[in-house]
Amino acid sequence: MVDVGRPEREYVLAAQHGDQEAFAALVHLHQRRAYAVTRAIVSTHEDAEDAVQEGFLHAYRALDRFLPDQPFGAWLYRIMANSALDLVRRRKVRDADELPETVALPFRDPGEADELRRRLNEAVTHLTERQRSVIVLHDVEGFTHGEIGGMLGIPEGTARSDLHHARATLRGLLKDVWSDL
Amino acid sequence: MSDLRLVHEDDEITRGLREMYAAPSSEAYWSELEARITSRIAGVELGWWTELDHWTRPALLAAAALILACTAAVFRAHQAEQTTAYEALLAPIPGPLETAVRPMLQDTRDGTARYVLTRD
Repeated sequence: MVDVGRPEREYVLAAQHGDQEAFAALVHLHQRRAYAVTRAIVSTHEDAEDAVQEGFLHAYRALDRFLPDQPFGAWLYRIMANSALDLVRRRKVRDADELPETVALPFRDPGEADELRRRLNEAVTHLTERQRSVIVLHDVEGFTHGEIGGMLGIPEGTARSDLHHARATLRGLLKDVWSDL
Repeated sequence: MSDLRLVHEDDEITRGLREMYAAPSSEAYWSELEARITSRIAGVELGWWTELDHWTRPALLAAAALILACTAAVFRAHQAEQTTAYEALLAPIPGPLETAVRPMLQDTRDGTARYVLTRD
């Protein structure tokens, strides 16, 4: 059970001493944001969910190396981003059927909602993976260019320029949609 | 194209992206995911290296202290050795000083003259 008044640092310190309940509290506090990070990088809800689970496992194993004076969220989201990027790399080199399948929790992808969303969904596939991640992390999740750079391992300026190009590409591809409106 | 129009299009795109990438909103979904993650973590055995990691810092400190102590001991021993050698050099030598003098080599001509003169 998460005690809202308890500082996050205490959960981190307890988890570092092997308290699994404290780590569960950290999962509770961060899983939504962690999902948002992974979802921006992978292309499906199922992969995002896998990456979140893997990311938390990595974080748990690496907890000893975390310095408690630093922000836990930034450290965790970098691990989540790496977990998602790793999944994308594996998807590229392996046939999807070879990957161990986990049963995703039932969730209807909102991307399938209507025609406009369908067009946007299609337009997004024209972006590079990094551009897509940057625009989602920035415009949807509200991360700063610096934070995005840290997560994706790119300079802040590159994140800024990726965002600019991503927006321009989407605008160009959806030009006829705007003119119909 | 006006800036206003660009802003409007970007807003539309952002709205669309937000819907596409929206996280599940059902609390049941998050409870279930949390339960999955925590059950996987419960099965994780932290390896001996993790336990070893706890000892790394004290072990490094102990090793550093040992190295310092050894260096100090070696330095002190070396200094004592030098002092002894110096003192031995300055100390008066016991007993009379004996000097070995090598007999001078005589000239061959002197030898011949002595031989002639001493001969009857």
